[in-house]
Amino acid sequence: VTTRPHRERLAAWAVPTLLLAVAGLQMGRAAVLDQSSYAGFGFGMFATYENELSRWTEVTATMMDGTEVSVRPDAALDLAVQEVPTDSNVEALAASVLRSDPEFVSVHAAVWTVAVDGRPMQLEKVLMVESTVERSP
Amino acid sequence: VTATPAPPVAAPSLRHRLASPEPLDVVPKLLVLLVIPRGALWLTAAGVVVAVLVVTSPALMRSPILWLSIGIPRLVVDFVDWHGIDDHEVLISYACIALGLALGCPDPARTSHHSLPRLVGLTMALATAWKIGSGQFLDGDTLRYTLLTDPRFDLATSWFGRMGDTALAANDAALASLRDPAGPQTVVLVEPARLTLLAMGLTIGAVVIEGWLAVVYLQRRSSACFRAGLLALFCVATYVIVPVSRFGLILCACAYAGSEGRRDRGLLLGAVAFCVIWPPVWAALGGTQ
Repeated sequence: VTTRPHRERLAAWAVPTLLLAVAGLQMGRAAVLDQSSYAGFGFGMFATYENELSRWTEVTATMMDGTEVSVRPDAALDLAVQEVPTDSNVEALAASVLRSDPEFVSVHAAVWTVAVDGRPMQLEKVLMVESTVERSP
Repeated sequence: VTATPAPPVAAPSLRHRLASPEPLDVVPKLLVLLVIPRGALWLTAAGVVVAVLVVTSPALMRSPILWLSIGIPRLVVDFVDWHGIDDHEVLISYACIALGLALGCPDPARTSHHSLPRLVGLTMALATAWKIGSGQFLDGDTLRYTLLTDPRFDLATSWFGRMGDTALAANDAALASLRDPAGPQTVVLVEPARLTLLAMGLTIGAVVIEGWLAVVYLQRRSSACFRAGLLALFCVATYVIVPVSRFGLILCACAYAGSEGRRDRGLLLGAVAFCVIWPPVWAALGGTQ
């Protein structure tokens, strides 16, 4: 009895098994959390139009004097919210913008996407998720 | 009893080795080029130095420790910082680890012959499953949207879809207005009928060829030459439209590990050459990457 075939089999299957496990996780997250098919190593690139071209964030901060300003959030957080547009992620994005400037009293963040229809192609903007975070007194 | 000496085995001639290089001579060289870091100049320079050392030293090139010490940290970084990292980057990390594990086995060529092509099959199977199951691909919507809005496809859109710069600019403006909070709720894009046909053709072609590649690379009952030819066709047909050459290169590197003869190796090396040569030509023609 030799252990060589077992070792070779393990070496030949270890990485493919890991690839499948990670991809399975990504598919599950896509089904449950609306995670983009492009993100998370599930090899869903070009399988949907749910990427940074069709999803975007709008962040608006309200100043102490009541004026509203459009804010560009941190790029990494922005990307994370677009890829996984959950309530908690959009709230975290709004909270991070609120913390970034003491002049802000509240921040509203929203993730938008497009719905595609017809020929020629018609695009309709659709709200995916939004959150408003206010500064505690 | 006297043992009969085994007849001497003729070593492959230099001409044969050059015409049909062995997988374990080629795969590490392709992989080391793909793992050269991009970004800071010093980091890239360090990567080039390491690549030269690996390529010139057969012992280093076949060291399992080297490939595991490249692949595992790379994979950890991919997993930790997964937002925005493309699938083919993690495939490169997987391939480095699979090669390292194979090189640690008694018969590295046999182990890598199984493990690396399996990565090609699984990648294609997952890509096909996503395309069939997403609900956005089979009706052509995904590729229509992509051709109309993704700047990386502008050259293909203008060539094959006969869309002029004015129409492309009008679509960009329509998309920008949709993102404007004060903008319209709906917009209509300029979409020539020819472009719709192109998108439908690409949609059907993508599902068929990727599904077929999944079957032939997972099942491995078809000839090695057929597998290699199909992958070379996929690389040319796909990356001529949008040159994501690193994806093509890693697929060819993994497939080469399972290659068996002169003809299939030639096809895969031809696909590698296309993936290397085409992007600069594309850029010179005005394409965006």
